[in-house]
Amino acid sequence: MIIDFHCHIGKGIRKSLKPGDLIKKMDDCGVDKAVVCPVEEGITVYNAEANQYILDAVNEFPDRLVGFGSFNPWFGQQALDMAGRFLGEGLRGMKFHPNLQGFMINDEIVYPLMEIAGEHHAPVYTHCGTPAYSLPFQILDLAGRFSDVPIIMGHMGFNYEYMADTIKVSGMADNLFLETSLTASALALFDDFLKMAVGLDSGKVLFGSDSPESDMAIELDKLRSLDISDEDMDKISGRNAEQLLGEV
Amino acid sequence: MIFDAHTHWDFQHERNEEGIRYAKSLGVEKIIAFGPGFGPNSHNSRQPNEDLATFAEKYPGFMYPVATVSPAMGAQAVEDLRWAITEKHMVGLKLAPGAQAFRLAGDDAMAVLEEAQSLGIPVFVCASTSSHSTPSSASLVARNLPRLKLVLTHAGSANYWADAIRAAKRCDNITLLSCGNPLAGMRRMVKELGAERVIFGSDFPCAYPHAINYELAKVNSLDISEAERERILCKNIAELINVEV
Repeated sequence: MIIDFHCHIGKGIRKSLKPGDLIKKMDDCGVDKAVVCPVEEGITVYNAEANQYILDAVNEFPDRLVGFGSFNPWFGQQALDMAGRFLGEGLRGMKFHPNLQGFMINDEIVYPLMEIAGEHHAPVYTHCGTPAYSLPFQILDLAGRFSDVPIIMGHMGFNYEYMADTIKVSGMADNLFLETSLTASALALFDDFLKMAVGLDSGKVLFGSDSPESDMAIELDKLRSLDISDEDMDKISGRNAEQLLGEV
Repeated sequence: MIFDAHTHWDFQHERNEEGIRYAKSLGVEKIIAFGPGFGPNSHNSRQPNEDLATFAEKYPGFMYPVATVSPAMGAQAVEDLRWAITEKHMVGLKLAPGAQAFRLAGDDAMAVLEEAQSLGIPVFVCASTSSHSTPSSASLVARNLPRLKLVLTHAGSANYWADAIRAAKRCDNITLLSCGNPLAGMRRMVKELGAERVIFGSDFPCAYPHAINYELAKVNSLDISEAERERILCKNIAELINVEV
């Protein structure tokens, strides 16, 4: 079972991906399931329309897609109502992109949404590795306040500056997880860092491609090029995600 | 031909030969080589530069060594750079402001960069560490030194690649080296700047040959002509260091 834990679908100003095209790419790459969330302005402004697009896609491909919604906390009560509704109707988690949406991930403005995530047993995926909005120790702060909510740190820190800290904090809270897409540093460092993460706990690492930001095949090849055990590869490729989503 | 414009070497490493064989097996025929002499303590730049130049002599026509100096050393850094280029025939300057703890747009760096401009060599600089060096500070340098050939390694990396594209649009003397940024970033830099402003590099240390596969896959996935791909993979860097390919 291969699960891609991080894909975007929808039509954005700069990037777009239709559900059917994602499914075709998954078929080409041998990916069984993908977690999908909105794209660009769907994350920031047009949450209702973007989340409905995700829900429709999940209903069209229920065995292949798992939907995460975006609820910009700056919309206040409107965001809370929307989160409750979409999580009740079939979306399985939340996606935050603090530097796009304009808040620090551990800001109090996020807390009510985290409470709703907890009520719905919904994992929260957040971009990780961009100052000053979504740095690993800020996420650790949030994780400590909402220990019942699984939080996935996107891109494992994103850049080499933050990858070591991201992996370090993943070992400091049971509810923190790492996702592998982009990790835009030298692959050698990715290799080092991933082994560091696996050494801490291979059960915390989730494969993701960030399609269409990156290419699913290239991201899979990146993962497969690493010298780790079959057992760990199996867990990272899908079993960890299966377990995490199965708990939803 | 593939000319890898971003590789790092520890010339004591036991797997160097294996790494070179692997690179060549993928079609890499030339490489730009950076040494291990980074970090705030690398104030003695002559020895590491000499070691790298000597190491590169074993691979004539394949390995082109690039010097580094520590700008915080002031006049000594300028002198060391001139020595590395004129005496040791190194082909450029590599700066890592974050690791070397200096500000790219600071006075110390300016003295070294002015010397690089006079020498006509490209400067490979990391411009993705918030407090030391960003594409915006690089564009200030590029505007102040309009004949300086500035190559932004990692093209702004994860957080600054869009800013790197803007900097390159503002300054004709900025070129972007594509390793270490997302595929979407590379697609946009080629679309907005053209293939002649983008350079392939792998950031490949000898022990991790798969880095080349990953970065090559990015270039090969681009929807561009073969002539454009050739510019990215080879011709742009060759022109910057005046090597015929």
